[in-house]
Amino acid sequence: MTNNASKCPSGSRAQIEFYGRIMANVSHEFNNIITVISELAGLLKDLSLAARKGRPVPNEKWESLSDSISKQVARGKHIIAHMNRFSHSSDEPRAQVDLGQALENVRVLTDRLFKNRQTNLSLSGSLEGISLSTDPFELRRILFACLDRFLDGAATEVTVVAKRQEDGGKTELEISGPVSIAAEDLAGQIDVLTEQARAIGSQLFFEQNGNQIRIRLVLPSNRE
Amino acid sequence: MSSAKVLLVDDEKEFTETLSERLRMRDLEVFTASSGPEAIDLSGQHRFDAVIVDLQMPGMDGIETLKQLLARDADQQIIVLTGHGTISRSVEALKAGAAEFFEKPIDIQKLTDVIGEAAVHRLTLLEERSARAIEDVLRKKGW
Repeated sequence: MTNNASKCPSGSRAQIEFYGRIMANVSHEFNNIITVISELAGLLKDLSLAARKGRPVPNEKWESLSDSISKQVARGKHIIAHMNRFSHSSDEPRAQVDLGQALENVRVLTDRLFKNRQTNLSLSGSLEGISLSTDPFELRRILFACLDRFLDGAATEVTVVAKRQEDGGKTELEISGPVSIAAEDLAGQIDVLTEQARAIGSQLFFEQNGNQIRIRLVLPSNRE
Repeated sequence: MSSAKVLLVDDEKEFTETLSERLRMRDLEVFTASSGPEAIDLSGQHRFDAVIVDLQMPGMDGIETLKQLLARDADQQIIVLTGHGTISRSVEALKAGAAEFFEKPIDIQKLTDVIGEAAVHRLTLLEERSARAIEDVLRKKGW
């Protein structure tokens, strides 16, 4: 990320903000995991003390607590793997990126933001085997920026449809759902998104019908 | 402070289940809710000595939940217990009427002490309120 920021000083603030939002979200998730593990450890201690005082604790209880701890560890490892993938996305300004993995990476790291707003994110169409030569960090940033438009509003269902264009092997992501922000605010946000898309050689199209908006992100060819 | 009645409000089900089990082992009567609306609904059915609320929850957040709980019962003792412990959030919660603000994870002894203090404070408020009500009646009747 430092590389990208130094090459693009005007965008560095926005890049840091994106990184910050991901970090804030992930650190909150980690704190939740640590809190649950801390309570489970406390309960283990409470039960050990009770057992020592002659109050029997069934074997199933110990097994169930062990399973609960393992579940939280797995949850943490899953986030760490995604955080690591995200951190390495800024290693190179251009690399071959698996689009499906990049979108999943953004989805996992921002999951709580969607849950807190009770917004369901559904993906249809296959992203399997779609690989792009692009800036891996900036691709993630624009994917999140598109999804974030719906978090600013009151969307309950956001749909991401992946399509391969017949000509030129381009890939199109169509992101749609309801929003509740003022039209002039939305227009300003779309201008910023369009600029961001252009910076990675993509095109962005926007349509609004009442409170429903549709963002089409046409990503560059998968050929080098 | 035995058998105080406590409501835990948090969307992390594993957290509420484990913490409630630990609090029950300490002779507290514990109820759980996974959302603000569920907590408000339960507060209409039971009189809680303390309500422990997380700030970040899907839908109605902790601040809105505590405001609605206090609108129903101004003496309700609300303890905010959150993983999102910034200074501005704690100020916001205390301004909205929270009695205490703590970051997760919290030591169980500290939490049971705070619940005990909240229950005593609530009882004092209720006694003061009923004493004032009696004084009002006496003054109006001129006895």
